[in-house]
Amino acid sequence: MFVATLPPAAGTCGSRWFCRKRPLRSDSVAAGVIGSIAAFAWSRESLGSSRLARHLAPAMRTGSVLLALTLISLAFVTDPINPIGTLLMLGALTALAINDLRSRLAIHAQRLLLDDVHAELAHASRILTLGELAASIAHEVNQPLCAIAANGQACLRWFDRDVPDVAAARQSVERMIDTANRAADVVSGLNALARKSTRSPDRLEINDVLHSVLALAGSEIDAQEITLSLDLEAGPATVLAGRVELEQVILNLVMNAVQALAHIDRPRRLTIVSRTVRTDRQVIVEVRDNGPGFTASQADRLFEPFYTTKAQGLGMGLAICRSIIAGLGGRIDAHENEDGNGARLSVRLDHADTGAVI
Amino acid sequence: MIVSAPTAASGYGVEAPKSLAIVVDDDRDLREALGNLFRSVGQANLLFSSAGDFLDGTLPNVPCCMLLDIRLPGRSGFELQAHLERIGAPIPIIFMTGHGDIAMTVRAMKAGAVDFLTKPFRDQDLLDVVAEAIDRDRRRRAADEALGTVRRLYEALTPREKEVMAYVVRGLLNKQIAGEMGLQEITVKIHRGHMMRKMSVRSVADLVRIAESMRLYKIT
Repeated sequence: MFVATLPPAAGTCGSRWFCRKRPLRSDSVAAGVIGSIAAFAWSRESLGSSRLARHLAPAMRTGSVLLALTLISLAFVTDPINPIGTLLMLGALTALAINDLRSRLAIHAQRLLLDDVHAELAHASRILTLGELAASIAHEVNQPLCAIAANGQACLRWFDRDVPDVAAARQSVERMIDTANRAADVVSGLNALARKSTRSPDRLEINDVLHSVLALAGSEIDAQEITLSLDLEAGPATVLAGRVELEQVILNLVMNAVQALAHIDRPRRLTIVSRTVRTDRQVIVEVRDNGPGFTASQADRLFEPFYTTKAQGLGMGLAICRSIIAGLGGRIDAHENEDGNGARLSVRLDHADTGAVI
Repeated sequence: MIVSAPTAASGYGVEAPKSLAIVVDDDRDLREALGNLFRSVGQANLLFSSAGDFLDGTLPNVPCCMLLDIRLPGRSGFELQAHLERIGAPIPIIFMTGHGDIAMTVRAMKAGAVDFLTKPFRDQDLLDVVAEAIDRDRRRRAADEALGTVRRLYEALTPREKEVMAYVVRGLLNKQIAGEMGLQEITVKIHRGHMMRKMSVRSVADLVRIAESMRLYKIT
C-alpha cells in the first residue's frame, strides 16, 4: 500500500520534519490534501465491492492508523494557527473515520447476507436429510394409517354381523383413536425438524441433543442391526447453539455412519462419545463407525460442497455441517479411527460456561 | 418353527382352526388391527412381531398363509422367505410394504411370493388375497398328500415290478419288455398285473400320470 510510503520520507514536509526542520506551510497543506485524497480513494475502494472490503479491512485499519499518526505529527510540527492545514487535516481524519465506518457497515451487511444464506442452506439440509430418511418416515406414517383403516374396516364388519358385536366394534374404535394419536406424535416430531430455526442460541446439554437425535435415527440403526455404544460425559456439558441446527449436524453424522455401515458384512458398530475438555473449555462429540472409512485424499475433500462418496449423494451434508459448526464458533473434523478401521467425525464447540470451573 | 399336530394352541381358541392367517409385522398397532380384522370375519390368525418370534413359535398343521412385512427388525421379510424356502416350509407369502416399488415387487414375486400388498390396503383386497393364498396352500397340501400315498405304493413294489413299470410307462409292449429283461412274456404279464394292482390303477394312462407326478420318467 502506498500508505506506507507516506511517513516520513514522502513529501517535502515529511523530509523537513525528518531533518528536524520546520515544514513549510504550503507543504503541510499539500500533506493534508494528499491525506484527504487517499482517505477518499479508500472509501471509494471499500464501496466498490463489499467482499473486497472484507478482505481489505485489516490493511485499511493499519493504513488509517498510520495516516492519522502522520497527519497528527504533521499538525504538531507545522504552524498551529494555520487554519487551512488544520481544517484539511480534520477533513482527512473525518474521511478516514467515515471510510472505516463504511467498511464496517459493508462487512456487517455481508455477514447478515451470509447468515441468511447459511440459514437457508441449513434448512435445505434438514429437508435433504428428511429425504434420506423418507423411507423410514413413510413407514412411520403409513403404518398407523394402515392400522386405522384396518380397525375401521373390522369395526364395520363387527357391526354388520348377523348379531352385531358392539363390544368388539367399540374396541376397534378405541384402537383407531390410540393409533391416530400415535400418528399425530410422529407428524409433530417431523414438523419440529422441518421448521426453520429462529437462530436464537439456547443453552443445550449436549447429551440431550444426542438423545433426541438417537430417537430420530434409532429405527434406522436397529433396522441395520448396528450395535450402538454410548460413551457420554457424566458432568455438565453445555453449549450455546440452535437446537434444531445442532441436532441437524449430529443427525447428519449419524446417518452418514449408518449408511457407511450398510456396506460391510462384519458386525456393525456405531459409537457416540461426548466429552468436555477442561483445558480448552470445549465440548467434543465424536461419531465413530467401523465402516469402510475413507482414504487420505477423500479426507481432504469430505467437507467440500458437492463432494460425495455416495452413489446417490449430493455432497452437501458435511459442507453444511461445517458451515453450521463454524457459525457456532466450533470446528468439525474427519479422522480415521485409531485402529485404522472406519471413520471418526468429531465436533468441537465452546463450553457455554467458559467462565465456570468445568 | 415347529409344526404341531392339529391340536389346541393359543391364539385361535380351543379348536384347531380350518385355516390360519399368520401376520409377521413389527408394528404392534398394525399387527393387532389385522388380527381384529381377521377375527371380525372369523378367520383364525397368529400374530408375530419378528421373523425370530415366528420361527420360535408352534404352528398347527393346517392350510395357512403368511402376511409378511418387508421391513422387519433383525431378519428381513425377504430373508425369512428364503429361510422358509430352504427348510422346505412352503407357506404362501403375501408381502406387505408401505413403499412398494417395482424393483421390490419383482424381487418378491420372483422369490415366490403369491402377492404383494401396498399399505394401506382395502380390507376386501386383503381378505381376498389371504383366502386365495390359503386355498393355494390347501391344494398344495392335498397334492403333497396324494404324492405321498403314491410314493408309499411305489416303494411297496418289488424291484422287478418297478422295472416293468418303468418300461410300461415308456410305452413298451409286453413282448419288448420281455426281450429287454430277458424274461418270458408270460412272466412279464404276471409282474405287470401285480404292479398295476399294487399301484391301484386301471389304465396305462393313469400309471403314466402317477409316474409323472413322481418324476419317474428317467428310470430305465
